[in-house]
Amino acid sequence: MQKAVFHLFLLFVMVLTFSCGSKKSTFEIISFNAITNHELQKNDSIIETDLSNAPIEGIRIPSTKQIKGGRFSFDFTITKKSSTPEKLYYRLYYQNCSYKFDESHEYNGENFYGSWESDTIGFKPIPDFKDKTTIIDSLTIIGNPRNEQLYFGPNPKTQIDNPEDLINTINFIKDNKDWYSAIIQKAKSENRNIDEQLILDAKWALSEKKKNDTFSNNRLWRNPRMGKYEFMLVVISESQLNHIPYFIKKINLPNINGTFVNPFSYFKVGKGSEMDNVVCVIGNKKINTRSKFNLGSGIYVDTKKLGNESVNKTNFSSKCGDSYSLYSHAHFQQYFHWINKDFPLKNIPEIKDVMDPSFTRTEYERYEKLYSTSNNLIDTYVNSSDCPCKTVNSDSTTNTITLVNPGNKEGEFKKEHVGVVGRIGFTYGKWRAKIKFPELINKHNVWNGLTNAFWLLAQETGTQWNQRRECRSSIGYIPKTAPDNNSALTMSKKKDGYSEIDFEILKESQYWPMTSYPGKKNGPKEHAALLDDITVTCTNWDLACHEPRKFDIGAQKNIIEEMEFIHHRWDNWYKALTTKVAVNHKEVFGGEYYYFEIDWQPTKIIWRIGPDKNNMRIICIMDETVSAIPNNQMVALVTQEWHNQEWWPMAPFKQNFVPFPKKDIIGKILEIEVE
Amino acid sequence: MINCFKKYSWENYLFMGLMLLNALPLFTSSHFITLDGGAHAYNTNIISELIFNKESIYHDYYQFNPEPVPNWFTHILLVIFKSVMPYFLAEKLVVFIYLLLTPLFFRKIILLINPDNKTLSYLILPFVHFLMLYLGFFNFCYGIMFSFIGIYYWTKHVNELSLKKWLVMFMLCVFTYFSHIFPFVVLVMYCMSSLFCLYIKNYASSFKQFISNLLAKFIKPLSIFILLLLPILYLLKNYFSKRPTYGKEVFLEPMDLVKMFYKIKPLQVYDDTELKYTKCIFIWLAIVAIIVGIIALVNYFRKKFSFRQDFLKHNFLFLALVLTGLLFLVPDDDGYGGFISLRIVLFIWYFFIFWLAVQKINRNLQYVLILAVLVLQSPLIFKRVKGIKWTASNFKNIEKIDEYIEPNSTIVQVFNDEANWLGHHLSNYIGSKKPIVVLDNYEASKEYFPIIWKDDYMPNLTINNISIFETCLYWKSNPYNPNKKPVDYVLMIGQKPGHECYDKTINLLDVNGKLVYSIENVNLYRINK
Repeated sequence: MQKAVFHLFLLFVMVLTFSCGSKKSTFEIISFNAITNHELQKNDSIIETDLSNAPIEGIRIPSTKQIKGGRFSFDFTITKKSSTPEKLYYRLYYQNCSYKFDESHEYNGENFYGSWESDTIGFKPIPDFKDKTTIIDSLTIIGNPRNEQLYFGPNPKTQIDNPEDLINTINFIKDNKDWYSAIIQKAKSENRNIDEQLILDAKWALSEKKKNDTFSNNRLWRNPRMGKYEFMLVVISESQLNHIPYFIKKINLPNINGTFVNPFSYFKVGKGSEMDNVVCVIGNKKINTRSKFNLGSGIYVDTKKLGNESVNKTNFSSKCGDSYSLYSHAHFQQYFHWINKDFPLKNIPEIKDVMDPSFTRTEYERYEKLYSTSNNLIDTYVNSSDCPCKTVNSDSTTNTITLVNPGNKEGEFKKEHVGVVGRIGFTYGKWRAKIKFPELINKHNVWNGLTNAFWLLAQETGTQWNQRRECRSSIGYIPKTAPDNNSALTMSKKKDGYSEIDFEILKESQYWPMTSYPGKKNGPKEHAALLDDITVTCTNWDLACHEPRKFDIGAQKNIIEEMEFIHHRWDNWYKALTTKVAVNHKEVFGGEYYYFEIDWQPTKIIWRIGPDKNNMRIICIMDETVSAIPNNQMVALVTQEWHNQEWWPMAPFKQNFVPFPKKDIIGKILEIEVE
Repeated sequence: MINCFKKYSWENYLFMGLMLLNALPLFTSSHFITLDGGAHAYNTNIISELIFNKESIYHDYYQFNPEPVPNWFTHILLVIFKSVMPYFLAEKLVVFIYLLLTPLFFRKIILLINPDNKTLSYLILPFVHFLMLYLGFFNFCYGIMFSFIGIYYWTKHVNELSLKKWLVMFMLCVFTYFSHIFPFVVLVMYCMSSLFCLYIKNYASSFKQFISNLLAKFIKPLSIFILLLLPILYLLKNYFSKRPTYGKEVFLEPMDLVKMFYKIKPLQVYDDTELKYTKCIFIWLAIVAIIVGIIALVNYFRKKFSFRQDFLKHNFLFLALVLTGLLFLVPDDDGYGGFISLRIVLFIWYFFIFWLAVQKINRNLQYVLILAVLVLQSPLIFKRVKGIKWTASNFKNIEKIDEYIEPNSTIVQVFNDEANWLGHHLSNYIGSKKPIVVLDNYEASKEYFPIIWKDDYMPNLTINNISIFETCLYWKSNPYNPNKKPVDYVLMIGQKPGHECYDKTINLLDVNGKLVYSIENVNLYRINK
């Protein structure tokens, strides 16, 4: 009896385990050739994206300049297994596979995938055939491929006045007899000349047009991700087409929860994979994409960011300024730092060339001793340039950008930041910069007070279209502006648009204060002032989202991919996680350039440095278990900054005791690419 | 036949009689209306239709939950009973079974552990009528019932578990899990702790004996039990991992939790006056427990009783204490299920009365104890009868409303009858007999019941081409779906003139609908095509 019960139980378990059906189909795809364009027949073909109009139009892959017609071609052949007269339909999809969540992952809907450009076209009918047919089609990889309403907004093209538009409008008015005669009348009555009146009316007409142009599909707000793309073909019978949900037929529509469903997920592992007469095939070829910024395309100045009514335009030129041409084509714009008035600079009243070998540690110590109790300090703030284009320069012959922290003349006491910020954003990617940063320490290891930085920042921080995904924890994102104390914990919210990933290079101890180590003692120590090392810091601004499983404070040892890293967070409310790595000064600054790479992936960030592209080493990894990884679109920045001494309490030389720079401090950006 | 009757003593018949008397409120009205009763009735009908009718309109809106969630048991039972009797009888039968088997197995457990305490098994009678029963949480009630059966079976057979008995135990755990998670967790807690207690009782007379039998008599059965439970524990893990509770938890103040315990809040159903009697029950039981506890302690110190031999009896107190700790740690609402604290307090009380009922107590004191408890329970029973009649009278107005609704139509409910706090799902009864899609199907929206909405295909429901989300009718619909479908009926229960949403809905219905049924505060509108 017992045996019989046991056997029945076993049978029950086996039936449950192995009772999976297999799907059937009345047709078969016998070949699917992805990317049949003859220009792309090499196996390792990499498409370098055409960024010429990317600042205001976004990126199309391929562009018409790259491939005639600007489309990838495909063909597939289908045969019928039975003589069913049922009509068949097909659709092609693409998906970035370098930076994606697995198809079964809950965030797979965030993947960058798309299909036909227009959302009015769904599955296309396959013309009736008897046994076999071949279909040829094509598509383009574009930004905002789902045509999501979130990325609709004011048209960037019309956000600033385009002189060409003004001329065209004037010509249009002149061609319109009624309008032109009205303007002549108006000019008479207003006592103006006709040309003046024409310009005024044309400007008015353009401003009216701008007011109405607030609902454009800004594909540049969700640019195609870089890296590899895979292609999927789905062929479906008419009856099954009627059974699939609307959000699979139309990828621009979300499901009932307002979230998008990835067709790769639906057809590869979801319900679509179990449906009869639904065949999905992944293409035999992938394409690899890469973007290289044109550093010689000029530097745009967004005068609104200056915060001044009057803008000093004395240094404006065709390569740097606020012209429409630079607005349309420049890949970088000048970055004007926000000056935090909570941190005044009470600097010693000395102007020196700290990099000169004559400035010794003894000299620094003498200043420190002399001024530590003195009231004779310069009470000021670090500043940002008030003369745009004076400290940044784009060179179109060498395709480089030069950054200058200006030196001080006698009686001037300024520590002025300088930097540029990218105008083309991406989500994820390997952001690699080849930079000749200015040196930081002199022969005696004395620091000049400068922090060199290559970093990523959320594009148009704070806008609705560029929010990070929800932080699923009782303490969510603490806004960047919240104070650095416990009260910030009460200000956390589920969503926020701020994200930042940094490389910062400065003279600092590679270790943290003793209070940060377990037991608040026995932490490592060093006499950083004696060493010719500088510190490369890697920071992810996760806004203290407590969702990561290993969210912690203090200096914590974490092993990721079999490597050990010390991640540090000051407190539960602290909005960033940082790792410090000591690197020999000569290694970073001894050559003509040095590479810095932020490899930002959906579930981790890897920081690499090295003397050349093929010789880079990992200095830090932060994954989703220790820090919330951002998923919004970011832009690249290169800056040379004077950090407040409070930010780096372990620095052996204090900013306030470092003299003001006597000479210009010059850095050069040689290359920035994303792949 | 006479011999059969003779088999049982008069006391057995007394217990049976009191059990039936305890179940009597159920039969004092034609309908046993509870808060969730309508939803159970409707979803039972949906299950039947989905299984037995391929053409049913419900296939367009509903599907079986692919996740093996709890809350299945009573739905299946109702489907079976409903196939041979009207729904209202089926529902009563389900509740009646619970009202009989729960005290019965409580008694069996007491008799198993302390056969001298028959009388104290009557302690359970007031504790089977608790708030959740009247809210219609039948699966929770069945979870309690199965956990009692499981406790009984485990205690009886733990020392002689054969393959068959292990399988029976496994099935009891499965039934408990598919009734409700919480009683399942409690059952597992009991089984594990009692295994240890029995081991202490039987094999801890010396350290050598304790060690030598550890593997065979404790670790082995414990391992088999855990192994046996693995599939259910896997389901449990999946259940919780799919339901993150961050930011959704609602915690009660510690003082409120303490009050919940000493006022025996789970036993309060219809009004606050019931608390007068429950507080008296608490005081009475507390006095007896203190006396019994002191006597037991004295006897242990005097070595008249062996504490080791009584280990299993005190396991109940230990579990009550563990649950008390849990009460202060877990939220009252985790965003998915509510009344968590009340459920924990109820189980604390169960373990407390289990403990009290198995202690050595003078027979005369037992009579006095039980008599007092039963006397205090009587007014509560009368209040339940009154309450059941009141809810049934509220139901009368919509009982036959389905006759005015065409089959295969959709209906939205607007509930504004604030006086009827148990009436929120009354509209669900409309879909219990006829194939009518009631958009207020909270069970299908919760995703931890057998039926879920077919979200992928849910149309954009409209009234005069306006999405219902743009009106004040926030029931199930998908505003993103290009496939629009007009709503057929709107049922208004109660009135709230001056309230923005109410006025907006009335205006909408005046323009787009026609009143087809009206009685007291119930109005049914048919939407113009």
